[in-house]
Amino acid sequence: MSDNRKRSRPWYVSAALRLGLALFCIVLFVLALILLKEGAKPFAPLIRNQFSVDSPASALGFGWLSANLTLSGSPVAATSLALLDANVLSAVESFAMIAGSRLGAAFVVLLIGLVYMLRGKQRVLSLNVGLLSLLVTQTMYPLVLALGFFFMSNGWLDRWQVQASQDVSSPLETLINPLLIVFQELLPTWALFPVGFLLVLSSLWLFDKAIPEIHFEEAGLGLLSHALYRPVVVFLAGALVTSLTMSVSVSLSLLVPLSVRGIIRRENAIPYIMGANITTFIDTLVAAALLANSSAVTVVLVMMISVAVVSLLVMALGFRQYECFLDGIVNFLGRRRRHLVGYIFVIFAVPFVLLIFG
Amino acid sequence: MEILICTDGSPAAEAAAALLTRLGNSAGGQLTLLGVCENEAEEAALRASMDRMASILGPGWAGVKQHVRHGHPVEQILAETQGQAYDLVVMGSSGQQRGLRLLNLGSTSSKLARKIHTHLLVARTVPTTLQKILVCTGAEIPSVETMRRAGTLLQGTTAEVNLLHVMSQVALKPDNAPSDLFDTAKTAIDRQTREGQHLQSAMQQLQAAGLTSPIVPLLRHGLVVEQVLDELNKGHYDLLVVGAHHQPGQNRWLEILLDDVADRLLNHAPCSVLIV
Repeated sequence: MSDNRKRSRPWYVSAALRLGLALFCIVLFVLALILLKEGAKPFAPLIRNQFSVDSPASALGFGWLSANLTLSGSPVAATSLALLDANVLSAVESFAMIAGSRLGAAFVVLLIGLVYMLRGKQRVLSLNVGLLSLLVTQTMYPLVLALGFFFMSNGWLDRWQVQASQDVSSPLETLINPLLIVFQELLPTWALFPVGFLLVLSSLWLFDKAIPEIHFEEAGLGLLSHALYRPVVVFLAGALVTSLTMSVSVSLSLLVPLSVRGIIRRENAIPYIMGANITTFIDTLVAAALLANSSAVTVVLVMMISVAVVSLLVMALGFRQYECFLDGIVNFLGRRRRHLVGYIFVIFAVPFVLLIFG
Repeated sequence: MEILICTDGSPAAEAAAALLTRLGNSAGGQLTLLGVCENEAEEAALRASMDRMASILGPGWAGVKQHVRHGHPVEQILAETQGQAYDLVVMGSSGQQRGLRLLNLGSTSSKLARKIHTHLLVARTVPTTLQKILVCTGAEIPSVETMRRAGTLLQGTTAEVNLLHVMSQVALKPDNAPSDLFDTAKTAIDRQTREGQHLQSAMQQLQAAGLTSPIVPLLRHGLVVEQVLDELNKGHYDLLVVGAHHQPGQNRWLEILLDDVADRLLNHAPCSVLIV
């Protein structure tokens, strides 16, 4: 019944509903950021002293662990900017926390895989694109971090600091300020932070729903739907599609129709993820702009440039070797159940170690 | 069959002539030996090499012509193939690299493979007898024609022929990995999956084209080029047969978008390569 109604709905009604939902998500996202910012200050002693987030290494661990636990990267990245704006974190620490958020973003893939493995389907996990996504990020980020720290310590991007326009946020503020006052009256200041985090999470989730479902018709693509693309073509496609969807997982899901059987070639998946990893920061960049904090904008730009530089270096100098390296890791993880358990343990233990000893 | 053997006077080119005789089906065809040198001083040595090649090829040919051109090898070979319709171009892989390998400008054979509009046989480490041949199929529409032509070119061979398809797919989600991703050639054929049906039909096309040797289907999982190279190394093959990147009538944009697997295999295969 509801399906029939959905199908018979004129396109302009669907478009208007999606646009309305997207606008609502933007308002919700801005409100969430302001709540995070307002609620962050009381958390400063907790984050600094109890969680020991007082260095880039511990901020990296904190971001990583937070993304592991919340099963999502973008809300953690937005939170790191709010913490930067509230002077709880320095710019370098915020950068490290955003990097951590990406390292833990695809942890959900391993959790699902673990469930399948416990059901006796261990090889299934090794053969899914989510694990490749996690591995691409984890193998590239040591270099990304090094390059980002180098850029930030030399202040190379400071001269191009983008000032977020107050004009952009002003109309939104007139809408949001009354809501903020309501939240402030109803909740203690410290509670604004977790509520803000939940609202960021919800707004991003809802925004994914607002994105139109793009269907590539397999028949229309002919040979392209099965064949191997040049890595640079897929890399650009990954960057372009993700800049529209702002989420690597949503962007990857658009590839489903490229194969009737829900499978995609390794040769295509790896460069696609590499491209997607750059433009997935667009929502974080929007968050930085909405906070009207030039340091936050710089931090996100440094991250995007560092990921882009490392990706392009890999593409230009050793893409085939990198591809084989990743394939080797995937095969290793899929070979024995204990390999996968060990890997899950490591990616949970490393952020802990960074947080405690960093 | 019109065959062109290209030589720069190197031992590799002479090995190419030997490889042609070991394919078994070419005797009786029209043969042209094309020598290419960059200056006239090299011509005497080149002609001596061409005479040696003629004796390697033996007397079974309907006619053997010798022809020398001066200039850049790739340009001269292309000019020759444009002037006359050849069914097969044969050359040795001498390891002479012209251009930057890093930028994939590649060897003479690599450049020719990208530009030539006929089948290309590149000889490398030629054995005394051809014992094992690996035929690769991409399970796509152009591979139907590849199988038909490969079968025709290999119809005189008595070597063992293995037919390989590589599945490089991964599941988009952990909950929708189809069992096809774990298939062997046998299970794929038994279950009549898309790959199983393709392997079966490719074997039929090879046999229909005249290949009399028994054909063993193989299905591997992983990165396409790496899996083919691994099979070549582990199976000690003497010849690899792959489809050309450039297909007649293929959309030029499609050609630009698609990865040139044939070129990568040509550059890295440890044995001779036939691009059809």
